[in-house]
Amino acid sequence: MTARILLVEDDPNLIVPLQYLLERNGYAVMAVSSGRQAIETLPTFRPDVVILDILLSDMDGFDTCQCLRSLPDGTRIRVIFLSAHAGAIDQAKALSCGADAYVQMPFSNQGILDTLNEVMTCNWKDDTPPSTRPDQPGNA
Amino acid sequence: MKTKSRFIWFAGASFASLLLMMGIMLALFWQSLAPFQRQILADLIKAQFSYLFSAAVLLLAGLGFILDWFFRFYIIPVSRLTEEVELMLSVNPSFRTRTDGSKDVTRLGRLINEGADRFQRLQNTVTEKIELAQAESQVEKSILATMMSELPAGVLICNDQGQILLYNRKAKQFLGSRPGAQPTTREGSRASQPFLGLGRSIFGIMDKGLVVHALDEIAAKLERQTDDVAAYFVLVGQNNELLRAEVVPILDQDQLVTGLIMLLTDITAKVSREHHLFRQQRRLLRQLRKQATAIRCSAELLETYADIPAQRQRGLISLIADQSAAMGDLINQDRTDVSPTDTRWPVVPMLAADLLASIKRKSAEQLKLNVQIHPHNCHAQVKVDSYALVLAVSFVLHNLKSRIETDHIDAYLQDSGDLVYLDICYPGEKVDSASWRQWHAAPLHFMEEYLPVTLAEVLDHHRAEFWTLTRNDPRPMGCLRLFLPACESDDGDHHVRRMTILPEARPEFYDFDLFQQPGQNPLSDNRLLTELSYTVFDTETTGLDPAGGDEIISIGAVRVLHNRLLREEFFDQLVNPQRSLPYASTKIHGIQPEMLENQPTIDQVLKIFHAFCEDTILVAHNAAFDMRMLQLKEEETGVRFVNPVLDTMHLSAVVHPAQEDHSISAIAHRMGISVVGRHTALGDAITTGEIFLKLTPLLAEKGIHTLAEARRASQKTYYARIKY
Repeated sequence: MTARILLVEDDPNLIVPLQYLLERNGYAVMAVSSGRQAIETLPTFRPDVVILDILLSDMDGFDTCQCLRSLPDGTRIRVIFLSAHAGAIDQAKALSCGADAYVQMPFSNQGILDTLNEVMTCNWKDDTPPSTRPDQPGNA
Repeated sequence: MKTKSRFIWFAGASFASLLLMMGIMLALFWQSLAPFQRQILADLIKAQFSYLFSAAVLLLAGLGFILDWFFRFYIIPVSRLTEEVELMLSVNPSFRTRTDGSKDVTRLGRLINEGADRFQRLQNTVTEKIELAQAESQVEKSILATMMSELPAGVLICNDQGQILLYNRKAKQFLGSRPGAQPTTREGSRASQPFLGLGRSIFGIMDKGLVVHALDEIAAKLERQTDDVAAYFVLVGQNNELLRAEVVPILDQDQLVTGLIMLLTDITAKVSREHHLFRQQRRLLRQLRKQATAIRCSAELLETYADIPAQRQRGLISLIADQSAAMGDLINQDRTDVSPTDTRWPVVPMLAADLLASIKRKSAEQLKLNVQIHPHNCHAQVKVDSYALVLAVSFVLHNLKSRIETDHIDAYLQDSGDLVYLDICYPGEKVDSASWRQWHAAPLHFMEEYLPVTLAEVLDHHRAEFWTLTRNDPRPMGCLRLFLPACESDDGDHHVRRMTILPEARPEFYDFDLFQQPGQNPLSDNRLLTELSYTVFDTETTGLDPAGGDEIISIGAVRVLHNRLLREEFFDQLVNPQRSLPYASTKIHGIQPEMLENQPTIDQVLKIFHAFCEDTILVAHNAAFDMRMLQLKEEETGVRFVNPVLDTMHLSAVVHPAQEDHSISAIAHRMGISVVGRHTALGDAITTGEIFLKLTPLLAEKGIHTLAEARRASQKTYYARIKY
């Protein structure tokens, strides 16, 4: 079955090549440009992976991720953060709010595909929320 | 004792002695007579009583005239001559006696004047030679003083008691109030305006906690024997500027801290600029990273997949061209304003656990908020300006408390390599983004503390972030997470400020005698007059009847410290009396009613004047009048002057009891003081201050050295009985 990816990115110049890359590699991709649109799309599109930019126009990537995780089916979805910021704080925040991976721009096509593959094949139990991973503080 | 009283006592004593001697002689003569001789003498006296009585009265009158002449031409002139010679020998060598008296006394006066002329000529010659010798070192001192005065940084030196020994113009600009200015309340609502001045306490112009914190840090560094012994903190100046303070200890020969040098730099603009640049840099990098990602992704697609449809290919190529051009534009933008800055806003390493303990303490004391610190194994250090960061967190907790209405929160501390996390958890929802953005953009104003920077600026400066989230522990609760970059240890990225050790001899300029100050109680009665700090003041009023409704219209004051009149530290303020100003009083002081129209009222002025006088002895001429004016305002203004008081009028009567006139003009004339600005409050205060300085050595000659002795002597004078 084709895996579904929800790409949440407000920069169309990034959406075009990324969406094409993912589609060429066999994923069903839907692109939205805001966190609120992403949350609204979840029940209908039911993605396996959400690729989230951090800085979005309405609610930021962290808020979107927390909102997503609080939904009934939220822990099933894998979340990959894309960040145009350098620094450990964004990464810590991403992991704190339940991200499965954190990718810093610029990245290679192969790099994002590998990360995608990694999070989709990750073998942790479905009922265990990602936020309990040991590299983060607390139970956020 | 007054001259007339002295004469009456002298004459009385002379007559009494004479009568006593005559009585004894007559008694002896009477005893030696035979009874019949006594009878003859008694009859003779009875018969010739009127002649004998007249002769006795004439004799006594003659004697009285002789005594009066003797008193007027010998006793009084000699007494005055003595005081005048004392004046010549002490405070006014150019004074010449003009005493009239007997031929001998007048001649003695002439000879004294001649001797004084010779002595003064000799003294002038010696003085000229000394001045010549000092001229060379004076040039050096002037250069040093000018350099100190014109330094771009504020410099402030205090002793180990916190008393200010030296400050320059910039320090006054940063921290000192201007008493002559309109009294206005500063943002930050301090009870009274602080004054920067020699001998004043440094704790009057800055938070004691800051200085103590710096002293603790210095002590720890000295113990560790590190190269950099300075302590750093930021504080707010009088115009709300953000000041960076660098505190360097002064050590004595035994390596004990005997004083502090404080260097103050205004970093307000730099902090704002740093914040702006930091944000700009982040934005720029974000754009560049995104553009680089789009280019790389597109290029790799074209390279990897040869079968991309032509239209898609053109789209990707066009995207690469557009993004490359945009990157070029971004890079070529004029970035002249992005040169690196060095705010030198001090950050020093400290244990994250200590930082949390400070937050807990401040929250408990000022917010009545109990911060429960949960056990942790965090031994990481963070580089912070602890004052600013604790204030920032307190500011956030203050805002939080007003939303959640709880008096208990939980704190968790954890580190993970590069970062330290401080979680502040509370019952309730996480703070919404809109409120959070509002808090970020607001200046840090917490209770009575204030820093003219925003929360975002403080966090940026620390490369820190506050984040609001929901934490499951196990039930959902609101959480504020503070991320702070961890640091290894003090990597010494700031320049090293080494300690200053006092040389054996005194420095060449300014007065550092306060190093020798005994104790911290400036109001001790047993302290020498020359060691005390004084506020010499004068008031101008609408009239001379304080109890009858006359009001103060002007207060002038100047400080005296260590036998120096500090002309730069003055208070000069007109007061709106809220009543009419009689023409008779205007004729004296020259203050016109329209000059008082827009002036502050007495309740405003007295609060500031009270702060100006703090911890000093009040000195005034005819102080009973001025003090009465102040006391009558106590109930209305709530300002009470409890300082000890000295009166130059009393003290003048103590040192010169034979002089009749103890007005300011007469004393100033006697002491060779030129009077400028007579009948203006500040002018009279300055003259009174100069008089007081001249009186101090004369009091010492009479054995009056301490405040208590001066007060006791004053009370005995005739003038002390004047009451208003």
